[in-house]
Amino acid sequence: MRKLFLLFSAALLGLLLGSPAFAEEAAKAATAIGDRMVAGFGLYSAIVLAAGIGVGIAALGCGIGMGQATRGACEGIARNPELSGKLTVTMILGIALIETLVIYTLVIALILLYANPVVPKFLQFIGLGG
Amino acid sequence: MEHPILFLTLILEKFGLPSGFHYYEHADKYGVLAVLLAPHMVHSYFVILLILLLAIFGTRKSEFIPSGAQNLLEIAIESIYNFCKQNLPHDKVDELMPTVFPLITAYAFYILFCNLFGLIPGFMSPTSNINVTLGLTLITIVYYHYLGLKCKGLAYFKDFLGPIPLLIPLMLPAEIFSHVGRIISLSFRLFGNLLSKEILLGILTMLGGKFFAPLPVMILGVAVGFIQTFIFLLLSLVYFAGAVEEHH
Repeated sequence: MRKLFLLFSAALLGLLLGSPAFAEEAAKAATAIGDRMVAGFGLYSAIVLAAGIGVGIAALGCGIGMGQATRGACEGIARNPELSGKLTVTMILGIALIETLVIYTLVIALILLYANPVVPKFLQFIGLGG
Repeated sequence: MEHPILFLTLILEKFGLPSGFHYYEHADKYGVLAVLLAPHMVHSYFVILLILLLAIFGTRKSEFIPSGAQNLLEIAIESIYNFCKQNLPHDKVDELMPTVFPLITAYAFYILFCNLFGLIPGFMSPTSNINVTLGLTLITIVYYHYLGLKCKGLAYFKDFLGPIPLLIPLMLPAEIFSHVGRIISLSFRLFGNLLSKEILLGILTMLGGKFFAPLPVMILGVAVGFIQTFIFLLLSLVYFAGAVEEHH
């Protein structure tokens, strides 16, 4: 636990220290239009990160839930093998309902990636898109 | 965005009709025909045609001892009938069955055929478009409110208020939110599952189509098609049952 905390705080520190340095380098190299490009690419990388991490976190929770459901069904079948048909159907139904939550996140991720409503406005705001 | 090659729209395009993603995205230029012949609509028409053909050929020679297509249809219809009967409230079964059972059967055949249709290369699932699933969902939503009003009259709105009068300001927004959330959850569940399947198939075909990489996902797609149909039917029935049930 302590190791994990150390690792996490080190990563956070790196992020905090890293981003101004990168920004400074980028700002040095960039002209006025290039600066806007950097802002635009920053937005895109943030969107890609958000989509990936969001689906990852959703899949984490879904995996835990599905594991619990399957364990329950397995225990039920082991205790009472006659009910295996009913239990399997119920388990598949429950698993599909759990899986739906990941699918919602996936839909949001796909919207973010392919049909983002904010990006055109943002690009207009920084003067890149028409 | 890249568009997939769809045979049905290509055939229609050869006849000079504005059918395909390219026309659908610029529907203001090509008129209402481009919307009516959008890819998901064309595939939906084809699925309806398939179901009609199945119904006609399955019941043409109806015999007392069934065989072939009639046998299959009878098994499907009977299992859907028993499924409806189990999930509706027992005191209202006779009243609801004549209208709910045909609706559920139509849902079952249409959604299952739509889901499985996308597994054939060169075709798409109409249910992987949000407009189709939202349409299906709106039928369910409108119909269960209608059933509730028909069975209970204006007392139906008492269900929205919760059991205790003191808790009305707390319960009313929650109930309304849950009823609005049903629209989103029911439509996005079907849509998201099918869309993710289609996108996964597309990506795997691009990456390793030569080596049959999409085959395992296709097997998964068959399972997803059946399970999502089952869930849609079950949730529709649960909503119908919830609308007509007496709360004590």
